[in-house]
Amino acid sequence: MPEATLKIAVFGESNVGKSHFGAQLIGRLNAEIGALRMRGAAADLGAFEEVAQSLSSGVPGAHTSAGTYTETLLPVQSDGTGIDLNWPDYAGEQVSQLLQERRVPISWQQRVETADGWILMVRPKHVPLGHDIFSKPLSDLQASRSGGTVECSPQARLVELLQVLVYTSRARTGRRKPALAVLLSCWDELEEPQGTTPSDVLCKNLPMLADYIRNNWSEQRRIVLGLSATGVALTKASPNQDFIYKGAEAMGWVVDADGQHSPDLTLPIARLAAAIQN
Amino acid sequence: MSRQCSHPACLAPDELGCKVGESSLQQCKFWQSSRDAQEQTAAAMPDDGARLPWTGNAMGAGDIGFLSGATRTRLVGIFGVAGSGKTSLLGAWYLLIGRGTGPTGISFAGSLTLEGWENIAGNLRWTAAYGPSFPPHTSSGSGRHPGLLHLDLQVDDGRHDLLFADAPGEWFSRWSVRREAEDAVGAAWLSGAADVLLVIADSQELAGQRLGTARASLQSLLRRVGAERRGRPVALVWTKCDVQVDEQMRTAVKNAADLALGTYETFSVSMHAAPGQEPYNRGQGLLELLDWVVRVGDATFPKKALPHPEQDLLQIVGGVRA
Repeated sequence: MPEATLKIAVFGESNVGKSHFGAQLIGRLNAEIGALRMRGAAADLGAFEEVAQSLSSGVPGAHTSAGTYTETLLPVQSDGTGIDLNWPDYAGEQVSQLLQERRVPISWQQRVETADGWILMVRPKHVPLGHDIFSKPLSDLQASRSGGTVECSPQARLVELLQVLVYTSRARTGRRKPALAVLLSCWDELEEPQGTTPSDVLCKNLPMLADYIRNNWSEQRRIVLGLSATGVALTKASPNQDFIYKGAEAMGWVVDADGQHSPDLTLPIARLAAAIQN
Repeated sequence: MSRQCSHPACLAPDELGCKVGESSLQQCKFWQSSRDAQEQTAAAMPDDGARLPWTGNAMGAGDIGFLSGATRTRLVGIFGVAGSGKTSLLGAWYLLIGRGTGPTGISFAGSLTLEGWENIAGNLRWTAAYGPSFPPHTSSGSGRHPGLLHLDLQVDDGRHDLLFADAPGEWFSRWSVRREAEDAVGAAWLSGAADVLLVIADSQELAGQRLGTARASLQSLLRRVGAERRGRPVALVWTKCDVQVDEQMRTAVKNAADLALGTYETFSVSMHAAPGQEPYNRGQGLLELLDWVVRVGDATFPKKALPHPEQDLLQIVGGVRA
């Protein structure tokens, strides 16, 4: 029996890299070189098989199909503490649908309610802050545009997602808010100088989301980290040779809170586990 | 949908949420036991999950109860004629807060009306196809209450819930002439419920071709607000202050405000930075005004007793829920 059973829910919209991180995480756990190690063998790793095979061939995995929701139980341990890690795989469209329809499916509701920690994956390059009348002034405002629909800004969507999750987790249970880890994914495409901290990037790119998190989670219960699950951008047209010869388990890195890079992709989970137990 | 809940006081599915507090109608025993439920078993209602009790859009009367009683909610009423910049002021505040450029010690902590804010602030953003434009005219419709936009702000070490009324200017034009006007009940409600009142002086109109009419309208509005304020904090806000207003006109407005309001604060705001101002990306006066709106002390003014408070939840927003 594990000494602690930890349920972690992973949230993120489409194309933030949830499946790639899942597959890479399993590779690192099996390699037994990180902060988290496998505790025995997982019963079924089928959900990530396709992505893992693609990565071994140096190409990206396919997009998770919209209706998919699977959970993979990963028995792991950290500093001698056994943890049952439930790692989900689903298409990001389900998150968009949740926001659009404004209803939380019962299956999602149960997952949100039972999770001890949340990972919110955000791909900064895909959620630009954009310019407005203040950042890029215009001498004369144009007459109001009529008829057009206003698209919700990415950071407002992310705040709304967290608000929905917070509401759902507490509406029936009254439980304490789960600890939160924000993972800024595909960090390699940001081309930030070495040493840049993930918190700095969050504040610069998504200031409203950063404020919301800072004002709703205590310092001990929130983490902001950077992640490049594959280290480089992969394309189907030209397979990456490093993945083929060195193995996917040698690729990818995490940016720790102090801006230092670490090849240990289990670090976010270990940090979140510590925050949950804090 | 014809099916109704069997709980006598529950309006599901016509209202958001469940009367007994279940987050999903499917989990409510009253809903399950409703007569129609049996009839519709064959139709196999899909798992519709838990509806969220807020829509994200501007709030109406039915939504206010969702605001928790953890902190006191402050209602900010913005009084000004159509086109004077009320909605733009709200959009500008939201953009600045969204950029993390709030007044010192004040930052975003949540909102139940993000979609409503986005709808008005979206026009002030650059898109691939358009530059910023004025937010669309706030429709007067036939509503009895203005749309309310919510902000939860972290203010130093505490939290403040604020509601901002985005009311159509036509209401105020009618209300300033006739207090009980049938088509201005929303303005009358706002004047009774607001905790902080802002009266808008439109610099562009007061310097434009119809400046005389604009001055007269503003004076009427100031007199009406002055008569209704009951000791609450009031500010005179010159919008579009990058437009130069003749000194004689400024004096006339100031004299009218002195006469009607007595004590009040004055602010000048614009989305355009003053020439040479650094940093440029915060307009003029907007943060100072927001800071005042958030921090100005609550006046201890008597609230009207409500014979039927449950019929007008909005009426109790301004202070009674403390």
